[in-house]
Amino acid sequence: MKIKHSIARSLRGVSHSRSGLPNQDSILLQANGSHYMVAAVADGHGSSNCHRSNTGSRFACELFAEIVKDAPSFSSYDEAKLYSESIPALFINQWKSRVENDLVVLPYASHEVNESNSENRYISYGCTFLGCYIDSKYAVFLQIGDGDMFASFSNGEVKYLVTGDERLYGNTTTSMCLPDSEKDFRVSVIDLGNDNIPEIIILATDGLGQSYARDSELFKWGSDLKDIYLSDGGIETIETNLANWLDEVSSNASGDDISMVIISIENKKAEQINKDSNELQTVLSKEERTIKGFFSFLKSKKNKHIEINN
Amino acid sequence: MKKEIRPGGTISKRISPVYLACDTSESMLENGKIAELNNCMREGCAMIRKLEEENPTIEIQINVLSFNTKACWVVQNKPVQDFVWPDLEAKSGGLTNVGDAFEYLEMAMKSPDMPERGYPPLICLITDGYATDSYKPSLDAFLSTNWGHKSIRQAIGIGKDADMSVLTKFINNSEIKPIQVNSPEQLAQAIRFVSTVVLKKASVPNVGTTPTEQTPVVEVDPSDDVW
Repeated sequence: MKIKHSIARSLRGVSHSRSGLPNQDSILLQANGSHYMVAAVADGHGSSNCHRSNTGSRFACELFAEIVKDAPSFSSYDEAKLYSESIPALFINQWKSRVENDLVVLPYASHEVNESNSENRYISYGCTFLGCYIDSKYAVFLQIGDGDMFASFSNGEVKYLVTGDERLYGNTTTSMCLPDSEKDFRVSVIDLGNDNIPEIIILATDGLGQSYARDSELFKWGSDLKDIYLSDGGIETIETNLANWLDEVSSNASGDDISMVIISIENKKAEQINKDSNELQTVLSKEERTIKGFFSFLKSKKNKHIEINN
Repeated sequence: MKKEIRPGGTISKRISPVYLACDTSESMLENGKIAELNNCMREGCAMIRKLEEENPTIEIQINVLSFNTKACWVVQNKPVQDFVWPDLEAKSGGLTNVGDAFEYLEMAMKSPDMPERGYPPLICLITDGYATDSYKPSLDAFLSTNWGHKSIRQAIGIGKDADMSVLTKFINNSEIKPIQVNSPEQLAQAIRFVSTVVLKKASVPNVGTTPTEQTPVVEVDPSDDVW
């Protein structure tokens, strides 16, 4: 496995621009060579009860990167799975500690105290989170709350990378800030040694998904980006235009902040199969030419024979 | 950048579906109930239009279901900006087969037209009588659908004869009580509440749980009671 390209963009939604709210999303993309990557997007809730949620979302992205930088090199799928399932408890524990520390430095002013953060002091920092950690053999995905993490696979299928959560609909979401939130994470691991791997991975806060009425419309991002990457100057096209595309989507639909990470992975097996297939085609073409030549030789002999007979 | 190369499918505003299931049985002819319902609904729809104008990222779609002996759709999936309240007529001899209305709502919740990524539907049931059919199986089927279960339900009982137990079962949420109204003013107040507070709560960011709205306090002066 090799990471071919990655990009992250975050923009403030028009509804937040109108109301003067800052972008509540945070985004993180860290690579170490072409075989290691950490990506995360987090969406601060932004409501009046969650007035520090841009800080909460930043804490989430930073802490996730700090946690997975110490990840071991996995020798099996089970090992990777076990590790990924241990992240949520540690992650939530550290995130809540970071919020506690922030509250020591910057306690709630009297006008910031409300019924919600009196009952649960983390609520003002509330956010959703989507993250992935990719090494040379495995990809680990974690999500809490809404937002969309999906991929275009080698076989052409586009699908979600973690299971759905029935509790997420309308504006209702699970959150880092809620009690027992470590239990609300959805986690998955993909063996990148398989033939069918996620080639275009997309992590996006819910401002993107809310701009589409159906999953099939959203999933076109996966297949379209795959085509763009394969086209001449594809990477440049994406780097030049991604922010404009997201702005256009937000402005004409959800109005929400949108943060997106795109990761393009090289599927060595698929590329080897393509290469083998091309080589086979070349051999077949040569054979075909040989056979065609043989038949035209026969034909010329036959014609000659006919001519002789005549 | 050329618009056509933007990745992704067709973008759209987030759909917020509103279902208004209105009783048009014979009893709604009494004491001008159907006329008052039409008046109040006209005012309510103007408020819904205003709510959408204030929230340009949502598209509110209106559905009106009329039910008496049989239920029928009067309006389906109509953007509120293009919607004019259709004056409903009560039917002489019409029964209150609310179970038939639940069957129609069940079908609507299962329809492929329901946006996968929209807001949960707001469904308001308005009736003045007792159910004249065995509605429970239909109600259970409606509530067992994905969107029926997730919908935000409110109910208005018109007059003292309204069977509030049916409405309570329809809402199926101990935190929300049906609203009983006994005069045109109270009906207007209840519809205003549904058209603004309840709908707004269904379409604003929320963390943790589905928003629930307490029943509005209706000022009651028994001398004003008409129904």
